[in-house]
Amino acid sequence: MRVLIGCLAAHQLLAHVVPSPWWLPDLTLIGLVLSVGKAPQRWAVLSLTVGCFAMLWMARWAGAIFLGYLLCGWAVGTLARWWDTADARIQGCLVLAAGAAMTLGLLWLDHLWSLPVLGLALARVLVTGGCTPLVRRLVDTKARR
Amino acid sequence: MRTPPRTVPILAVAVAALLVFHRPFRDLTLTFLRLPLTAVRAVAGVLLALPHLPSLAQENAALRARLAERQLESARLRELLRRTQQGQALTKAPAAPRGIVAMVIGRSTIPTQHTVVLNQGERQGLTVNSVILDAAGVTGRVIDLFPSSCLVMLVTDPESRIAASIERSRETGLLAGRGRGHCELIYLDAQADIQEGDRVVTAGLGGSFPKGLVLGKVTRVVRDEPSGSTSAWVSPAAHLGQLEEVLCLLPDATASAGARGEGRATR
Repeated sequence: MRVLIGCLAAHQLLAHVVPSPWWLPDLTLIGLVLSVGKAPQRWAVLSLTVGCFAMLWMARWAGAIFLGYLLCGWAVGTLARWWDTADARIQGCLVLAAGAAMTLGLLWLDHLWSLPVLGLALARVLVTGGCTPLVRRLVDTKARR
Repeated sequence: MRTPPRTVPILAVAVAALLVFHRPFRDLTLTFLRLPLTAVRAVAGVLLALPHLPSLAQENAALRARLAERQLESARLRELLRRTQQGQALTKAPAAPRGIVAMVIGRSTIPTQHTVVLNQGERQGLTVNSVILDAAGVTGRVIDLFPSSCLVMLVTDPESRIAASIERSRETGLLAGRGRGHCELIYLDAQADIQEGDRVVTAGLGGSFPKGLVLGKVTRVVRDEPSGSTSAWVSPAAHLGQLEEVLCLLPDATASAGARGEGRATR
């Protein structure tokens, strides 16, 4: 839970610094995947926390986005039965897949299908994917201490 | 064999259902969740202000001097007004619009929803559709109210729609957010008199926004001959990426500003 809370706080702090939310890595999702990957049995509580946090700034589609995060948490928790979701590479893949699904879902909900927006969405998924190993390394370093 | 406890997932799902489908419960939860944000913001504000204390003192002294000058000027103008023959008529003009200053305590982390959370709400007199400005122009409008905070939809949000006109030519259209830092002025005539660099202001139609508030500047004009329409890309005047303090126009202020056709607001 500490990793998740840290990621949520960092995400909000970065949102104040980065002018465009498209260039902001989805630290919320990274936190969710890392936390559920480590403790799959707690997916419900972790997803609920993330959903509540995201709802703070929602102008619309609150239910849909809340359920989206819940679904991501459930999916990672379920995949943990077959895969080692604590593994860094698997976590990276899960973040990329969940990030792409959430971003495409957001575009679909708001009917934003222009080429520049798709480019920004791709950039967001890649930035999020790129940040996953960094967050993971940070978490591991803290855990070793 | 001991079965694992299922209370937590069941409770979590129940709370999730309440949050999704029960609006009062959601509002109550959000009000509680936003309390730490306000506290964190206040502490961060104090810490960030510390290095600027010496320059703040100088700036404060300069501002006091300017305030004194303005007070003198105001007194002189009042006297002139009293002496003018039309003084009586001028004093009957609507009062200058009032507003309250609010701080941004949260920003959207969802890229398709351009919203911010302010630390002023229903208790301070804000209502849904209250207009929010910064020093450069219109920022957005209140879409959700809580007792001491509110959610503001920025002009760049894909759902944002504002009746707007070109200040120079008075061509009127609809300013629509496009979800990526820019807006588009749509529903303009094919032969609309519009060019790059034109200032876009609120048209004052629809009631929410007073007439004449600055929205942004035209960066590109797109003329579509086959459909007989013109649209223009508009760069918002407000610094939406670095919002810290904003001015919220109070409902009566919005009405009086609309009547005067002015975009100025006093704190």
